[in-house]
Amino acid sequence: MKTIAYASPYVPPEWIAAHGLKPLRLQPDGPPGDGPILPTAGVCPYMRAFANQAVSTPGLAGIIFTTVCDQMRRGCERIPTADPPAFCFNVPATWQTDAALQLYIDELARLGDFLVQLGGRHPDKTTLVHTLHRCIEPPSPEQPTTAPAGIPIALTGGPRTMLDSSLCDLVEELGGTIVLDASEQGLLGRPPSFDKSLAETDPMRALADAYLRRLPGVSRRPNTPLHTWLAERIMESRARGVILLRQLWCDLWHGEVARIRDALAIPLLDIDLDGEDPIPRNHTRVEAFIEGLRSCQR
Amino acid sequence: MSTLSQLTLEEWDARYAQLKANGLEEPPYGGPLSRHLADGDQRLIHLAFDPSPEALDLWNFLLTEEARLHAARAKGMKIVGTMKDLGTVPVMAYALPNLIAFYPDGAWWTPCIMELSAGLLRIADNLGIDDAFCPVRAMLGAFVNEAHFPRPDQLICSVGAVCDDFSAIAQRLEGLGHDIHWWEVPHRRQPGAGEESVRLPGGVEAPTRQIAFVREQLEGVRRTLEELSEDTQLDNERLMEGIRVANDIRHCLRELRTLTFTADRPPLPALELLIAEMLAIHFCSDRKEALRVLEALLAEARRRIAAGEGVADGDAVRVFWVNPVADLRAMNLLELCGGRLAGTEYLFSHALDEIPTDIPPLEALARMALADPMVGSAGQRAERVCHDAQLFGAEAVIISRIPGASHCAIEGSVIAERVEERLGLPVVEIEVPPLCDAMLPTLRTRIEALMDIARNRR
Repeated sequence: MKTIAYASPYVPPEWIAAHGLKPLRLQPDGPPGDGPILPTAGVCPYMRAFANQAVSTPGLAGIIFTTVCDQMRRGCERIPTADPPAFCFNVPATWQTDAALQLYIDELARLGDFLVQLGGRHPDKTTLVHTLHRCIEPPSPEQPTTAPAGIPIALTGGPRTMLDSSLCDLVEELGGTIVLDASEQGLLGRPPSFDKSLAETDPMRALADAYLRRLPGVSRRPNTPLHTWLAERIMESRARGVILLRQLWCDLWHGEVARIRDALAIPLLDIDLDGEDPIPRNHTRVEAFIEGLRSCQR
Repeated sequence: MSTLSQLTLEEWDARYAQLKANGLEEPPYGGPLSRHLADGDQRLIHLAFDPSPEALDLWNFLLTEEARLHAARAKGMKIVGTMKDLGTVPVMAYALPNLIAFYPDGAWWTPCIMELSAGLLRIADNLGIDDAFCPVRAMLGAFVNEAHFPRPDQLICSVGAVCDDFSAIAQRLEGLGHDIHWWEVPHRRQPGAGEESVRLPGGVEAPTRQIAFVREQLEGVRRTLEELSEDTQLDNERLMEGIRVANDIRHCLRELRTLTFTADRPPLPALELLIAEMLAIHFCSDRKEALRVLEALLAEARRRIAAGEGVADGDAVRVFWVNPVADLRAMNLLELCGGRLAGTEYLFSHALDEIPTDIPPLEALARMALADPMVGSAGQRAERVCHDAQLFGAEAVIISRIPGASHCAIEGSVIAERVEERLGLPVVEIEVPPLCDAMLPTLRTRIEALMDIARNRR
């Protein structure tokens, strides 16, 4: 089965699967390797890592970028026209109007044509309904059944590479326990639930409704639901501190840091990720953060 | 044939006194340039100005916009802040008699004009919008301290295919309690095979479906403006009249640009032309006066050409300039280094193109909004740069990066590569912060090197 790589949580894997292709949400290894996106000041290291790894991964039939951020939109333009071909999926920033929903549906159709060109087949309604039914119950977020061994910490922020994720191991090593991953690599990137009755009658609309309207995202305008969602998840998790991981030059997450910090009743540690190993330059900060939380607990 | 010297602020004061003694007539906002120092506009001390009374009006018009907005508020007019909107919503807002539109993003020049004394960037820093963002973050400070423009009655902001800096800053503003009407302009994509499409002002194609989407977004803007206006309908007749006046301004500016880029000796300096181009976006809060100021500049440009006068020598290197600069002083460098303008692309070339008048007005405005070079690909923007650079006979290209701007990192290299491939012209990228004094030697060296290369290629 041909594999289609994507990065954004706004790309529905169900739609790719319904075309008979295999969706792969590619989490780059990092640091960014050689490729069409050069190491230029101002370029998002995650976009660079994703794009360069996607074009050099053997066997990928296509790559899907989105317009969710300026960096990904412009990065798509730097991908050579074929081998594998790239598609730029236009995700509206507004999400409350019927027009925005229709634009998303139109884009799904356009993406469908792209997938067919790569060897997929247009799904009939039954196939799509069947595919959605298989995904109708999204996995519930992991909830700790017992009290965490270490200082309970929540994560939020944007996407991260495998290398960036080594910070999570560091948190655990230093005495923290991650009780919630509300980042785009965690819950914020999980497929949302579908409206069951809508999925029966109009599966395309059900897809669009779920991904455009129910997935709280930093890029949406307005993005107030993200803050409400985040506050609720953090309260449920009983975390005592939040670590926000964002890519260097990611304006969308960077712009929200102060607002999230102001809204939280618990401390927040803001870490930018530059594409390189994050541990050397963040070890002391994470250690001090956990130590501070521990001293507050006493 | 003579080369006109640009004047320092002090020299302008002496010239002003002389002009007044000779009976200079001025608009109500007129006066000596140095009076703006009292408002904190310290940057004027470091700029070199065109010596004409017409340029004096241009500067005075620009530097009195805040007073105009406050006066409009006092007269009971409603104020619309049109954010990240390069030339669309102002055309609609000015079609209603009791609305005045302005461009809050314009506050990005305040740190430059006031040499950081206004503290706008510090306020933005404190709100978490630090110098990793484009200098337009000064706008956030201006909204918070309310020391510059009055709080608008309505904010309207375009989103979608805009730069992330601005989108994040506008969202931060909304988070501080400012209601915003968001309208979306999607990324302009290439029409698919067999897909119905339309040629937009400026020459690029867009799918009809995308234009319909933007038209619907503008319908929403129209309703918001009508509600704000309270007693006037923004019907097609009013919109067409608004488009007609906007086109008058664009025609005037087009001629001014063409004369400046193509005359043997440029009749206007790079700095004043940049300010003149900016008027096309939002009319500097007085549409009628904006046109008068531009027409006067155009008349002066024609007179100078006829008299064989110019602000640079005939052999000055013809430079195409890409992106606006955060520090106006950088534009003075061009003539200082032996260059002159032969084309510009300040991110709003669509706001200089004629708005179609043979189709319904919202359709015309939707096409124009979708022609924005920022919402399309960098490749298409580069094509326009190449086209215009060739048209105006540019010998070199300067790409001025905006510090922190999300689009510049990739866009600059795309444009540079395309210019080199297509035209074989030398290109240099520079980055201009809000105050570039400390970098002037570097900037000057880079621009002079470009001039040398261009001259050697003759």
